[in-house]
Amino acid sequence: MASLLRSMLTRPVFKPTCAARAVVYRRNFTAGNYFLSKKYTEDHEWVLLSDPSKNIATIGITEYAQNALGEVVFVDLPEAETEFETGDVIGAVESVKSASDILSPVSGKVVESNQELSGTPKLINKSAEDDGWICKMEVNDPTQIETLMSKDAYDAYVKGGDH
Amino acid sequence: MSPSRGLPFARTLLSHQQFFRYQSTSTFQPLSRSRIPVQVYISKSRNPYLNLSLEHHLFQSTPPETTTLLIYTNSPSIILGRNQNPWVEVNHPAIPSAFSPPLIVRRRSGGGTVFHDLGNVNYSVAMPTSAFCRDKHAEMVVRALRRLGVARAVVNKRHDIVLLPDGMEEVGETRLNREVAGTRKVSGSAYKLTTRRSYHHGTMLLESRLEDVRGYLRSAAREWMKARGVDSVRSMVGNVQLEEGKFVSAVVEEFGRMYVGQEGVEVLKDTMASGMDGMDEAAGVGICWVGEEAGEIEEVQKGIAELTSLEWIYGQTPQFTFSVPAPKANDEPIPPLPQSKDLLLRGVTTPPVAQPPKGSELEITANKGIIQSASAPVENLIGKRFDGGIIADELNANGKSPLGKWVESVLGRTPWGEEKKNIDP
Repeated sequence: MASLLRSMLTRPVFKPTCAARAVVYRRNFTAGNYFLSKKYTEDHEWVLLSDPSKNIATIGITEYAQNALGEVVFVDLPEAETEFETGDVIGAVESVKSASDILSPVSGKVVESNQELSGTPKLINKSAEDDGWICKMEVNDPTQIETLMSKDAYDAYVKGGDH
Repeated sequence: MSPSRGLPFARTLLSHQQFFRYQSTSTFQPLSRSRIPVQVYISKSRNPYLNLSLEHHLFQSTPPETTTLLIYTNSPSIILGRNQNPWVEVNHPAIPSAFSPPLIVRRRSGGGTVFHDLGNVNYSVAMPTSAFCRDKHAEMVVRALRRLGVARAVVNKRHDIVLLPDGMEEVGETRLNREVAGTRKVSGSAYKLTTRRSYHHGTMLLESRLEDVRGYLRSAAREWMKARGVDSVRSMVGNVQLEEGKFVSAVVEEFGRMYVGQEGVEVLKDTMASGMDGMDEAAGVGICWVGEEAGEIEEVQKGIAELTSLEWIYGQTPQFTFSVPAPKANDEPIPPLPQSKDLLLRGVTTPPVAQPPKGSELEITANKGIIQSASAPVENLIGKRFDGGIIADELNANGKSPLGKWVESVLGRTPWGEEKKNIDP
């Protein structure tokens, strides 16, 4: 996701005011126990393994990204059944004359995209990390998600500046 | 700015073609791959597909920490924003009959539709996203304009450059924080953002023949369209009436003032005046004139193939519905386009848009340019390309020829409906 540094913000930088609200699941995998919570990418996307039994992950853009982008006027959503590799462009967001791509944080196949966003793109501004999710993907390798940043690591990354 | 202006000798010594090759082979690759922090490129091509692809290539290939300025001018073309609808923005019925119709282009950045011609210069600044700010380079251009005596230029809240109305006292600030009535837009901005690099590009109306375009913009079918995606915001426009070379030099100088010290600015000024390419690592600046041969660079070639494909121009249109009767009158008053300078055409107004036959009903929804749903008796259109010709033919074949005729008169026939792959740049 477009990275959108502080200097582009006319508003103050987003600062998380509450701890991550991620639902924590506990589930057995052959590899061991996972605490399933939201993971974050350097491109300002979040991923949550929302249905571990089917390897389904929900994907969206972060609160920080939505705040930096400003009012979202259009979301180009991926179509179901499309397969993507990590880093592929799965969709795009337009805000304030700016086009920004959404990159796939994992490899897998889209099973559903959030149709609410096609009629109400601003839902991303209201609820980037919850109701404003972009799509659900059946991921090829759920352990790939575990390699992404935790909430704390992402917050530190965002505070760090140069991105 | 044409390099030959400052180079009478080179011009006599080298043929035009040789001159282009000399320029490109000497500096383009070394400069664009170098870590020289401030890089200026001036395109000599007038092909919008090439220029936008060169812009994208520089944006993607220059080292992440560099700041590049690209200047280009396009032959007459209607440039749509990334997520816009050509059937809403372009008046297709007027295109085939035109003597020299404008090209239709979908760019990669966001925002609304703009018109380019040889009287309009485009500036484009690519930078690390950590340095991105929507107004920063519009203000740079405002400072350049003011140095050239255009004191009333200012950036408005929509990140556009406007001229304040006559008689309004000069403002010290380059940014306008309040609404002012009667401004004229001379430059529009759009942006492309990625995690590491972003660009801001803008138009600058110097001596554009805006009046020539009136028949091509503003689709006759607009009233019957309900489109997702991005609408254009109509503004009163005007020209700043400056000579292109002066404007380009002033922008390059201001760009230098922002990013390098006085020494670098002097190098930029001298290089601009010489009309030659130049790289100065000590001063941290480089300038390169780029000709049509940029189209031979593999990535630029790929970019041109994508931008000229109908799958991109029409097939990237967000979902919309074309319906009769019209969904609802939603149009707020739109400011008039400039009057023609041609005395014969003066007073000629665009004919009123024909209304569909009374009692007609039709509803067609398309996504990505493909019809998803269509009302009786044209259900067979589902899965076909959305196009005035295709819809009209189907209506005619189903005993609805008055409606078919009307559909064709407002939507026109597009290359998309003719199953072509590309348009000729």
